[in-house]
Amino acid sequence: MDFLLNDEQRKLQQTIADFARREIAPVAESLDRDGTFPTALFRRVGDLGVMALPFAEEWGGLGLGTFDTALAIEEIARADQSLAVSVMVSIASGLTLQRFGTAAQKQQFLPDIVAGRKICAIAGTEPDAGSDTAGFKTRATRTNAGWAINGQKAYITNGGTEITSFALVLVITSDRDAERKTFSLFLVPAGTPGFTPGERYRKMGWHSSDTRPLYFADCRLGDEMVVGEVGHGRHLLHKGYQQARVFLAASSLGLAQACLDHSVAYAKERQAFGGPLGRLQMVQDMVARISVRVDAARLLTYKAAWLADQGRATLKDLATAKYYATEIGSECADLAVQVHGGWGFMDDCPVSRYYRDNRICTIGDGSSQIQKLIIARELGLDVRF
Amino acid sequence: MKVLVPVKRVVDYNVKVRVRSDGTGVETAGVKMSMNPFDEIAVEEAIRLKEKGVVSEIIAVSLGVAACAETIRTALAMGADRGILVETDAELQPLAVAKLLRALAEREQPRLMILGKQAIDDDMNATGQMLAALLGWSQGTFASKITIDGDTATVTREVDGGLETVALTMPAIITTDLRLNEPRYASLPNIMKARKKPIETVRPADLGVDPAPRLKTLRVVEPPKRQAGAKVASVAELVAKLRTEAKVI
Repeated sequence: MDFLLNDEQRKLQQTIADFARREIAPVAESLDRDGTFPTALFRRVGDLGVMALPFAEEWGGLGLGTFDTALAIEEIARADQSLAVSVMVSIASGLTLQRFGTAAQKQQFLPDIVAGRKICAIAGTEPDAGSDTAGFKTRATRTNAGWAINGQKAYITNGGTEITSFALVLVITSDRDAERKTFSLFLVPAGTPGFTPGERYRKMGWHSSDTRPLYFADCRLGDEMVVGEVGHGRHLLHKGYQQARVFLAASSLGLAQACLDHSVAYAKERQAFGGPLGRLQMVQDMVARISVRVDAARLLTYKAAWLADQGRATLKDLATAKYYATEIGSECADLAVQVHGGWGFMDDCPVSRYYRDNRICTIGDGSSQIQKLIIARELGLDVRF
Repeated sequence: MKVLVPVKRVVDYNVKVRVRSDGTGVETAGVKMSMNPFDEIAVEEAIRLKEKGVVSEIIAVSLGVAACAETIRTALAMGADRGILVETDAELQPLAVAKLLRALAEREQPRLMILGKQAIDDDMNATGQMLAALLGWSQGTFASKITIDGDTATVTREVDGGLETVALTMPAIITTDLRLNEPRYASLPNIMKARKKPIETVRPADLGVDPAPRLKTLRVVEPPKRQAGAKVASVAELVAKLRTEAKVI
């Protein structure tokens, strides 16, 4: 057993960490305040090669795995989780297309995603239904030339940036009177008539990532825009979400590491009661608790990513990493705010942003409750949902 | 035109250095090491000259322990074509480095060598000048702008009180100042490609150079801790203290 990164992985990690520290961290606070998607910065992340990591060389990718990609996402999230999520959603959506899309779809859309020139989204959630896909209403009906989509999606990341290329959209394709709803995944290019990104939401965190509702009103698409087989869309979307779980775990891990970095630095620098804050045992306790959580989350996340690359990751491995890393992200942010005292409550303080940003991580991409149901089910308990 | 760029492995500029307890130097065990920032500027300038079509090949050279190969890899990932590692565990001082570089220059016959003006570890600011003297080449130090036209390199130098422009006849030695350029990040694809670029390893003896130190470090100590200040009640008291205690006026 070997817990060390190889030379190449260390070099990748160090390069991204340097970039994140020098180029992302200094602007993260103003991005949080302004709340606009940083197109230029995202493109620089693309120039660095981050978006290319897990894609096949055919599309301009580097042919690396989930593990290397998770390392990259962790380092970006250590500087700005909001940017990391824009990165990871585009990578996870692009990977879904790479895995299930047609040659023509990939040819047309993947190179821009892999190069980081454009960004893409995956749209499952609706206003009235999230994990419970049975409650979905958005529907594609047959037309003479193909399909017409009607309905709406909610809380979609990367849905309406100026460089959004497409959204993979899950819609019902079974008849209205069918006994069971079946779904299909459509590639909807930005600018398709009838496809309108709504206004950006006001959010608790992730301010600079682009989150919008997507509206579909008689949005016409040909058969060539179906991804995978008609009727199998839910399966495809779930496969995409499964890989995204490791990436979301890595996003929270990077944020938790940043909580540790800031807390240690502040404990050394801030003077109280005649010496640095870190001399106080109660502060030492909080720092140690953050540290233990970061280490444990890193082990679970790296293990899940590594298993995924071996083709051996079970649903339980992915759910465990996602559940634990995102939960401790919030715990570490909470502790870090406490270490920082009044300053930690100020929006300008990085740990305040971490506290807000990570809150969505235990909700999105399958809430902590859903992850625990998956774990219990994988352990053989009678779980129904 | 071939250009040779020496790159030094130093303690990363973000690391807060600590003096070793025996006072023989600073602690480097378990400390993050990186390419000397002035050398990064040198590599970047060489790459820009190559992109302009002035330079045809960039050779990155590092001297020191085996781990210096990592520093060469960084230069290769940025865009250098091949590397040479002069491997030795001996402590290398500027004169030894200059002699080793002279030997490499005689072997490789570059028309230009771009060096960092100094390394951020010992701040010697000597190697480039010594090398130019040993080779008998022209030198332009502290460059903030370089243009090459045929056999002439025009170098804008940052000197006390302003900018000085010199025209050098090649072959030449140029050392870089901070404002020459902003080095690029090695992209991830280029990092992977760099693994396939060749690095040759030679030893000082192969180059006929004895790198033994000529200078002896007596002692390395931490800078003195800053003393607490004192409050004065009036300007008169301040002036008196400056005169009698600080003795600065």
